[in-house]
Amino acid sequence: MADYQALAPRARAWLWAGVLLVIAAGCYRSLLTATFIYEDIHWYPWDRPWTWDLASVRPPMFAAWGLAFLGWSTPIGHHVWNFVLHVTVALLVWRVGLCLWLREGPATAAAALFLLHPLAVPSVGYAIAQTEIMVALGGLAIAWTLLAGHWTWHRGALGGILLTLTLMVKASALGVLAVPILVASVRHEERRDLWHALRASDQTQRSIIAAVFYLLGIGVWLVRYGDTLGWLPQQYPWRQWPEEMLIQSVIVWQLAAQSILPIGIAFQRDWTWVPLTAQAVLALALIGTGAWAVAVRRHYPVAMFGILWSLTLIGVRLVVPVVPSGTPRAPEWIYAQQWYPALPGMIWCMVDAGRRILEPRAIVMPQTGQEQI
Amino acid sequence: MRAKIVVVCLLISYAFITASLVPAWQNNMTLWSRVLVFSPSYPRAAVNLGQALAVDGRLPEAVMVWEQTRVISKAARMPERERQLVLLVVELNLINFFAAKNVYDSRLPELLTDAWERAPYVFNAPGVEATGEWRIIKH
Repeated sequence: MADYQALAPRARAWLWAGVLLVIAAGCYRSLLTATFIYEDIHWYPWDRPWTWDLASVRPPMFAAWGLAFLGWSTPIGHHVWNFVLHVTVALLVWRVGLCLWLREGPATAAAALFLLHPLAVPSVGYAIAQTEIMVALGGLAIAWTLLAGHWTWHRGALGGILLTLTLMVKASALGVLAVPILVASVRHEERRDLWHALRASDQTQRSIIAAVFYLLGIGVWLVRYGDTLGWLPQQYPWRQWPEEMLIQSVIVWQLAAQSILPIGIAFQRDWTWVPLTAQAVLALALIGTGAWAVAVRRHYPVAMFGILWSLTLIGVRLVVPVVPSGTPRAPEWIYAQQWYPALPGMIWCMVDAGRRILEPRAIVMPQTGQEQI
Repeated sequence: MRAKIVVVCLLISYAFITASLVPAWQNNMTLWSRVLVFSPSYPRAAVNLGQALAVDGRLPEAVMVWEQTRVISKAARMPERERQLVLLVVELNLINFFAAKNVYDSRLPELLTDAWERAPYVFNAPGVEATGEWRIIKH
């Protein structure tokens, strides 16, 4: 212990990083003998160039796959490469965390939790889920670029290039569009702590973002659950790629109650009915809260609602690589833990909206010009 | 200090859960078997497990799984389009299996009728000619 105390802070950080890396590598060691599974083979077009078309031109992914193939043309290569990318994303989580919290402790904890999080298993273990890691990598890199220092045109241009590359990874990377919008709207030169930046941001900007995300949320809920419950015809016109984008958003709803599933798995129980019921209740509660905030409060609550809701989207979409939508919805790896970073934001949003409505407000009397509680 | 303890406890539990989930991603057999443990009525998992068994040469087991899938799919709560797809895949797999054995099976007429109704274009594909009397001629 004495030796540990004698270490410089930077040396301690390296020590912890090394320990975490060894633990993570130990967790994923069995992938060294894993084969390609499910859709892996169909999605790697390197050996079938005649199957390439415009839709499959994805430069960032080709670069990643190419690097993997340069070293190894076997499943091991892809799994090792996925692990390396996952560690890189964890590093970016740490860097973005530093920008947001301006403190090492929370940023390091977030990065460590991300690195060892069970939800990352499909993204690392499933070779084609490399796209998900790449989207997370791109999104976090954009956030880091825009948050790391004072605004310059160079920084903006780099953010734009990263955004373009990320969007080319896959269609559903459209969810990343929220990152520059949000960062630009909440950015505050004096205090880059996100909490204070949100407070200091422009009311109109927040309201616009809130409205966009809020309407998106309602639309998603209707499309997704309307489809599942058979409310909508099977061949409705927006069936194809827009749904792909919307799926990224609806995941928020799904995640809420699925956080209970790992507990069920621990006890060898199938508790899928819990999330199915609870997520519908939660979705209705959130939509109801937002609608009520729009109708009654007009400005602040709905703006905060929208911003925090969009933050939850970003948290889900970027902090944790999402399970591919083509992956079967098995309880042990579907989205479960992605909800954890989102839940506090949701709860805070509701509590804050309630508190602001209940707190006494000052009213300016038109006759006297005086404030009255 | 308390926050650090909570984070360390979370990290330890995450590491254990992660290490326990990774082996399921070894191959198709482990993956779909694992899925079916927790979602026994998930048709796509059953279809894919059957295919993994067939690829592994365990055809009787694959047929058993596919037949079970037909029952599951008809009752499962799922989008109709996906149900049709799952049933079609299962039926075609079973038809192929019986065709490969080169023996008549009493289940064939029902399978062929169902598959035809679901996707007649499959039988009109190049290289396959379907007749009105349910005889499939492979060229």
